[in-house]
Amino acid sequence: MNNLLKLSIVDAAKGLRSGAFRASDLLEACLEQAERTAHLNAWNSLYEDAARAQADAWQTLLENGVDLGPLQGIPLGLKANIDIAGQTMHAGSQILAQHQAQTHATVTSRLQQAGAIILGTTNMHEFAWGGTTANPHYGATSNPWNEAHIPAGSSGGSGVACAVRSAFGCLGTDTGGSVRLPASMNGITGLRPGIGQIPTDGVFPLAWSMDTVGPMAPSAQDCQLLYSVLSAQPIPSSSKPLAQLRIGILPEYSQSGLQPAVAQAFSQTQQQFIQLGAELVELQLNDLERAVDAAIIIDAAEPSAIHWPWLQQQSDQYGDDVRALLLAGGGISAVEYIQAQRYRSTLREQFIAAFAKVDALLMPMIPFTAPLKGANSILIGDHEESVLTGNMRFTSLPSMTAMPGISFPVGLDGDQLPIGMQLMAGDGMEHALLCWVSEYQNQHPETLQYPPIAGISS
Amino acid sequence: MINSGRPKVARTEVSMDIKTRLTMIGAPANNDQTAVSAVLSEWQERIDHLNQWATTVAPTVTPVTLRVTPLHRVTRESVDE
Repeated sequence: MNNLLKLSIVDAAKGLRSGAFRASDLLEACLEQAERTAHLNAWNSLYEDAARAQADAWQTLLENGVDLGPLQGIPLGLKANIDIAGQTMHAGSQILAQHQAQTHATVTSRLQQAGAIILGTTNMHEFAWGGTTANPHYGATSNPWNEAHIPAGSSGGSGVACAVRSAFGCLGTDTGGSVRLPASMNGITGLRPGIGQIPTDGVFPLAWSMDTVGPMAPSAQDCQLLYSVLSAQPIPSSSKPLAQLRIGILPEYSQSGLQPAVAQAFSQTQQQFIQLGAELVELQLNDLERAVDAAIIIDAAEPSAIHWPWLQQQSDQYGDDVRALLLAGGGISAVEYIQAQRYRSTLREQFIAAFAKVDALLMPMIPFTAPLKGANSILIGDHEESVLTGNMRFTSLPSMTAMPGISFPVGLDGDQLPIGMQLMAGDGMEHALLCWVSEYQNQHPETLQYPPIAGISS
Repeated sequence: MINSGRPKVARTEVSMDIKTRLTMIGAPANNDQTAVSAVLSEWQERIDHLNQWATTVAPTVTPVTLRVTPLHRVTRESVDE
C-alpha cells in the first residue's frame, strides 16, 4: 500500500479485513505522521504503548473472525476535555492538570467497543472558551496550511490532526462552533449534532445548554461512520438524493459581509448543488442578527457559573484571555441570560417552520478564512469584524436552535487557505446531512485536499 | 472597541453600564479590570441589541427548556486533592 494515511476509514477497514495491511501498520503510520508534524502542536498526549497493545489485540480478534465493526483497528484522537479512564483530563487547563479520569466518557466507551484505537488527546483552547487554540499552558496549535495562521478552535488540535492525517478521525466538542470552525479552517469535515444526539457525560462542560460532542474527519463518509458509533444509530440504507433536495438560502444574512473569496465560493457551491439537481429556495427569517448576541450572552454566563469558585480561589491559574472572558461573564444579569434563552425559543420556532419548506439550509461556515495568529479582528471591505463574534455568525444558528450543522470544505482562497460551507437541517437529520455532503464530496472530490505537509502532499 | 458596522440602539431600562457590570463581578484585580472591561465593551452593544429585541416579543414567549446535562465527574474535591 502506497500511503496508508490517504485512506478513508472505509478503505482502511477493508484493507485490514483483506489482509493488505495490519492494524499496527495504520497505527505506526499515524505515529510517524504525528512526529513529523509535532511542530504544529496538534497533540497533547500520545499513548503509544497502550495504542500498540490495542492494535495488536484488535488485529488478533480480526484474524480470529471477531469483527467489531468499521472502526476496528482505526487510530483516532480525542479532544483533551473527554474522559479516558486512567488518563489525565485537563481540558486544556492548568487547574485540571493533575485530574485523572476514573472512567471513560460514554463516547470513549462507544469508540473502544467499536474497536477504535485511542491514539491520544488533542490540544484545545483552555476550557474550550475560545476559537484560536492558542493555549498558554500547552502551547499554540498552528494551521497546517500556513503556520502563521490559527487552526481555529476550540478543537484546533483535532482539526489539525485530521488535516495532516496523524489520525483517521477525531472527536471535538462544539458549543458555539468548536467542531465546525476548525473543520472549516483546516479543510476537513466536522459535524455538530443536535443537542442530545450524542451523550456528553464525561466531557468537561463549557456551556451546558449548548454543549455537544461531534466527529471530525477528512470526509463526510468517515464522519458518518464515527457518528453512527457515537450516537448508536445505524447508518440508514438510503436517503433522499441531492437531486430531490430543496435547499434554503438566507440571502440577506448569508451573502453580505463576506471576504470576497468566501462570497465567491458560496456562490460556486450554490451552483454546484443546482447542477447536482437540488432546488435552491430563498427564505426570509427574522432577527437572525440577534443569534450571535444571544449566543455570546449564554456562552458568557454558563461557563462563568461553572468556573466561579475557581475564579475566586485560583484565578492566576487561568490564561489571561480565558480569565477575562470568565470574569466578564459574571457581569451578565439573570434577566439578560433569560432573554437570550427566550430568543432561542423564537429562533427555533422559525427554523422548525423553515424546515417544513426546505430540507436544508446552505450558508458559509465563517465570513473569512483562517486569521493570522494574534489577530482580534479582520477587515472586510470597510467593515472591521471581530474574530470572536465573526466566527459565531453562522455557527450560532445550529448552536442556538439545537439543530445539527455540518462544515465541509469547498476549496481554497488566494492564500491557499481552506474555505468551508455549512449545511444545516432540522432535528434528527444528522445522517441525512452526512449523506448529502458525502454525495457532494463524491461528485466533487477536488474539494478534499491535503495541506502542504510532508507525508501526505504529493 | 471594534466598529462592527451595526446600528447602535438605545440602552433599554434593563441594560446596565459597564461600571455596574464590574461591580457585579466584584471588582477584579486591577490588571484584570482592563481586560474584563474590554471584553464587556465588546459585548455591551450586543447585549443592548438583545435587550432591545426583548421589548418587541410577546410576554408569553418562554425559554426553551434548559437541558439537564449529566454532571461531569470532575468534583471540586478531585481537583483540590
